[in-house]
Amino acid sequence: MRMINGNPRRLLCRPGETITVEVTAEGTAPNVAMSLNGHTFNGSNFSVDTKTDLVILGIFSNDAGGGRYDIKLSGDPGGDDIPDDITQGEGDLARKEGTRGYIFTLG
Amino acid sequence: MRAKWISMLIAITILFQGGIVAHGQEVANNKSISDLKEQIERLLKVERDETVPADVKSLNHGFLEARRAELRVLLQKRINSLRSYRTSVGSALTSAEIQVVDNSIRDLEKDLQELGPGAPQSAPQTEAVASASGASFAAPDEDRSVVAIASPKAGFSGRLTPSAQVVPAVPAATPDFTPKGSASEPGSENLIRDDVRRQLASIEADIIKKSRSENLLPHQTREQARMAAIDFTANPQLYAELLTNLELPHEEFVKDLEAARIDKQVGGAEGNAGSTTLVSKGGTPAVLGFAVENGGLTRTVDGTTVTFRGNPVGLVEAFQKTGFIPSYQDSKSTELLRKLSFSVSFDTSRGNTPGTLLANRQQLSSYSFRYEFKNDRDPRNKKYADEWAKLVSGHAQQVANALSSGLLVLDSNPEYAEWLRITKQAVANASDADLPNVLAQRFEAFQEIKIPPEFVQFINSFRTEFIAYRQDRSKLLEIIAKAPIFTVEYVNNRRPGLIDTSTLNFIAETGMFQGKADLTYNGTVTFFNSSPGAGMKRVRNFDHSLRLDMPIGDPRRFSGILTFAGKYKRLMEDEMTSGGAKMKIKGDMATGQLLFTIPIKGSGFKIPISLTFANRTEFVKEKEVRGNFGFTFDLDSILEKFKPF
Repeated sequence: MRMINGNPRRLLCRPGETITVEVTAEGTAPNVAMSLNGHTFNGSNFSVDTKTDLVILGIFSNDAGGGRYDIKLSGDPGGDDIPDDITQGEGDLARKEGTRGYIFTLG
Repeated sequence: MRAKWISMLIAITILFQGGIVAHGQEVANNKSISDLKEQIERLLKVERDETVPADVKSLNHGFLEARRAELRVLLQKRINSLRSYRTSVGSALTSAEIQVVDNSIRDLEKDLQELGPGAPQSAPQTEAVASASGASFAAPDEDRSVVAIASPKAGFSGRLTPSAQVVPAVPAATPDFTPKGSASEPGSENLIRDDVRRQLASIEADIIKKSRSENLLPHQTREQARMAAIDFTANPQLYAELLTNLELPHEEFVKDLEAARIDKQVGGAEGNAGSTTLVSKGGTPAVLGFAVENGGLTRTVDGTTVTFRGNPVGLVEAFQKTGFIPSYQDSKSTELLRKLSFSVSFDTSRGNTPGTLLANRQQLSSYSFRYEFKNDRDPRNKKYADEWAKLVSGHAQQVANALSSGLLVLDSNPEYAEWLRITKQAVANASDADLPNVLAQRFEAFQEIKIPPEFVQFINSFRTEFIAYRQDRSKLLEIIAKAPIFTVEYVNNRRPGLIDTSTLNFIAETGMFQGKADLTYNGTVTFFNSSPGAGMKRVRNFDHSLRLDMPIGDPRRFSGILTFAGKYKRLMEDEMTSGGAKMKIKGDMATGQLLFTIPIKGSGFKIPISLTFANRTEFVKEKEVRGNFGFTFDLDSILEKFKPF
C-alpha cells in the first residue's frame, strides 16, 4: 500500500492486499462507526480487490472538546503505514462536533 | 436536392474522417505508450549498469527523464479520453462494459503511479486549460474525488475557460460567509452562518496542523498535506448544513449547542468574606480553578476572598506533562484519588496590607477537602458504554454508510470535482493567515454547485440519518447531564477573634428538566473547633439549602446561568469572642439568593453577580439585602484549549 501523491487518504494497493485498521481513542469514549463501500464494517482487516472506500467515523462523547482518534492503516510488509487522526475541535469548535470522520479510498 | 445530397455526403465524409482520425490517434497513443515503455526499460538498464561511465549515465538519465515525461503526458491523455468516454456514453454501456473501461483506466493509473510524481504542479493546469477546447480535464493529482472528469456534454466545459482555471486570489477583506437558502425564523441565518464558520475554523485548524513540518508524513510535501486535509466529507455537520441549504430544522442546530457545564464549584464556601456562593456545587475542576469574589453573604463582613480549588492528581499529572485529557484513563487507585480535591481561600482584607493578596497564613480564611463519592456526569464513564455502542451501531453507522454512498454520487459530479480541484489548489497555495478567507470563499462557491437529482435523494436520506443520529446523541448526553453527584466536604474556617470552626457539608446534585437545570442540596453541620464556653454545645449550626441552576440565553450570542438559591440556618449557640464577650447570635436565619453567572466565551472565566436577601445576618439580627460580584476561573478550559502540558 502506498500513498498517492502524498495523500494519506488515497492509497494504492496491490490486488488482494490485506489492509489492517487500528483505531485508538483518547479523551473520548471509544466509539467508531466504519463503513466499507457503503456497508457496515466491524472488522479490523479487509482485502482490496477493487476500488474500496473506507469510512471511519469517530463519535465524540464530550462536547467540551479534547477528543481524538488515532488511525493506523497498514498493508503488506514493505508498504507505507498510514497514520491519521480525527481530532475534535476545542472549546467553541467542539460543541457542534458530535462526530468527524475520514474517507480513505484504496485501490 | 442535389446540393442537399452533396452536403450530406460531405458531412458523412467528415464524420468518417473524424472517426478514423480519432481511432488512429488511439492506436498511435497505444503504440507510443508501449514504445516509450520499452525505451524506458532499455534506458533503465543503462542507468542501473555500474560499468557505464558517469558522464554517459548522466546523458542517459536526461533521456530517461524525457521519456518518462512523455509517457506521463500520454498516459494522462489516455486516461482522460477513457474517462470522458465513460461519462459521455456510460449510460449506454452494460455493467460489464463499464468494468472493462474502468479496468483500463485503473491499469493506466497504475502505470502513471509507477512512474512517480515527476511532473510539476503546473502541468495538470495546462491540461485543464486545454480541456476548454474540447479535450477532457485532468486533475492535479490522483485524488479520487478530483479525477471525476467533465465532458463538454455535461454542461461543464462552458465554464472551463482559462480564467476559470486560475486559482482564485485571496480576497483583500474577509468574506462574510453567507449560507444559501431561506431562513424560517428571524436571526437563524446568523446561527447557521456562525455554525458554518465554526466548522470552517475546525477544518482550517486541521489543515494547519497537518501541514506543519513536524506532522508531515514521509515524502509528503506541505502542499500535498494541505490538499489532503481539505477533506470536505470529513465533517458531516458541515456536509449536512451546506448540502441541505438550511433545510435542516433550525432547532436541531440550536438544540445541539452545549449548555455550559454547571456542576463545577469554583468559588469559595459561603462563609467566606465576599463569597457569591450560598450553596456549594458537587463537582470540582479536574486540575485547578480560582475565584475572586467581592462582597459578603451570610455575614456582615465585606471583603475580597481569593479561592484556589484543585485536584492534586490532576495537578501532578499536569506538571508531569502526562497530558490533561489522557489523565481520565486511570488506574483504579488514581481513579479513587482523583475524586479528592482541595481548596484554600484567602481573605485579602486580613493582614498588614489589606487589599493585597499575600496568600499567607494571616490571610488564610479557610481550607477544605472534598471527596466525590459519586459523579456519573463524565460521558466516558463505563456505565454508558452500552448506550454509546447502541448509538454507534444505529444511526451513526447509517451516517457512515451514507457518507460512503454519497461520495460515489459526488465523484460523478463534474462541478463538484472542479470545485474541489480549485479549492485544494487554493488551500495549498494559501498562507496560514489567508486560509480563513480562502475557505470562506470556496465554501460560498460550493453553494453554487448545481445538485443533480440523484444527489438530492442522497441528501434527503443523509439528512434523515444525520438528524436521527444527532437526536440520539443529544438524548444520551441529556441522560448523562442528569446523572447524580454526591460529594462530602470538610471545611476548616479560620476566624480571627472567634473560635475556628469545622463544617461538614453533604452535597447532592441531580439534573432536572431533561438535563436543562441542575438541583443541588447542601446539608451542613458546623462545629466549634474548641469548647465555646461553659454550658455551650460544640455544634454551632446546621443548615439546609437548595439551589437551582438554569442556563439561559443563546450561547452563540449572550448566555449565562441563572441561579435561585435558598438556605435555612439554625444557629444553635451564641458566640464567644477571644476577649470573652458573648455575642447573641442564637436563632434562625433564612437567606434567599438570585445569582447570575456570565461566562466569558472561550476564556474559562465566569463573572458571578448575586443579590442576597436575609432576615438577618449571623452577627446582626436585622434584615439585609446585599449585592456581590466576582469572577471565577476554571483552568480546565485553558488546558483543553492550549494543551500546554
